[in-house]
Amino acid sequence: MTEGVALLKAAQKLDEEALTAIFDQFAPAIYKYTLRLCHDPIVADNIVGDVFAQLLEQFGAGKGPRTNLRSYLYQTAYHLVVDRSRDNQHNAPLEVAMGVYEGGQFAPTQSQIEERVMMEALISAMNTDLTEDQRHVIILRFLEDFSLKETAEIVGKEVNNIKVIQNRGIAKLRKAMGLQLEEDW
Amino acid sequence: MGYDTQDQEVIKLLKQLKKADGEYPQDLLVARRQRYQVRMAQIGLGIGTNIGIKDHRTSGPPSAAGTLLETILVVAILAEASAVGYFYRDKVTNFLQKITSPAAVEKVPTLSAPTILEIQGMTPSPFLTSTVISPSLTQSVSSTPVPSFIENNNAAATQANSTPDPNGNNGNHYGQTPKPERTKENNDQPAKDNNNPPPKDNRNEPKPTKSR
Repeated sequence: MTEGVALLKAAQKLDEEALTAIFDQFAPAIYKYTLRLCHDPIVADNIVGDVFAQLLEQFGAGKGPRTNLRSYLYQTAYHLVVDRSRDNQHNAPLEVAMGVYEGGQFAPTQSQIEERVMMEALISAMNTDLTEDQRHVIILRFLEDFSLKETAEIVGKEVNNIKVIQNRGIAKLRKAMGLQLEEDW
Repeated sequence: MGYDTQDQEVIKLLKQLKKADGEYPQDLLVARRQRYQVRMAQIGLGIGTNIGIKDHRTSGPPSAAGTLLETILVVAILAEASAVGYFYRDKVTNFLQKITSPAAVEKVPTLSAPTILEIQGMTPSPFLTSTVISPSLTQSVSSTPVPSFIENNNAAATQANSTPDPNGNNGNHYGQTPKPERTKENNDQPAKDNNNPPPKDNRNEPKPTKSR
């Protein structure tokens, strides 16, 4: 924590090493997060570039995050994704994650086939049954490991509201997966 | 936060999905990192930000582009000002005339020319004094035998004497009526009519004695 604060303070002074360390630390995670939201590797890469360009401009203007750099970067990425989705109305499912999953990382054993079926059901439910807010909160909470407070900061809602959204999202996923599993079996 | 067992299964699957996500492609990451470092160097040098622009404008000499831009702006401002002046030239002329004309108007009452009434020994009424300024009344005054009243102050007296006397009769004013002349007939034979007898009350009164 203190290391992160020291890194942030050094970055505010436009220290090149600190700024490079921030990029190396957060760029892959921001890419993954953005890819989950927009499902396009090129767009995700561009958004990563925009996120860090904005960060540099903020530091150059004497502004920028003071405490939680990670939340700030995710929040910036989320806003950029929302802006782009408004422009493009692009709403593809999680093909990238599915593609990676189908890429042969798992051996085709019986248990893994069952697990793969459940994964596909989960991905399908996330793309079809969840609302935008529920999907985003589920990603931030369980795929990015943000706390409720951090998730609330990124999404721009109250913590209690985030709890409600999360519980409703999980309930929807459970219900959808149960139904799909019943259909599959 | 506690979850149901079924919820925990869903959360477990979500965690597995997290592991299965794609990594940042290496070529994209390297290219992005290089661009980030270039951008970082620009920010460090103060290029491309507002701060950098401010510092550049205040500290360094003006560039050729800046001089050109400044010249264009000045020319544009001058062109716009001249165009506005051309379109509103009538209003500008009227405005200038308004500014200059009050001084000429104010000179007229400052003239100390005696009016006709002053010459005759009467104080002029304010009505007449004020109406002398109006051009219509000035013309009517000029139609009278005092045409050069405003123009020549010294000639005012002579022109007042030149006013024609209507047959020597200046009107039957009080105290100026001519005495009627007595005829001889009236002096020789006094009238005997008793209609107007002379007063007799004073005849019997004693004459006042001279007191020494």
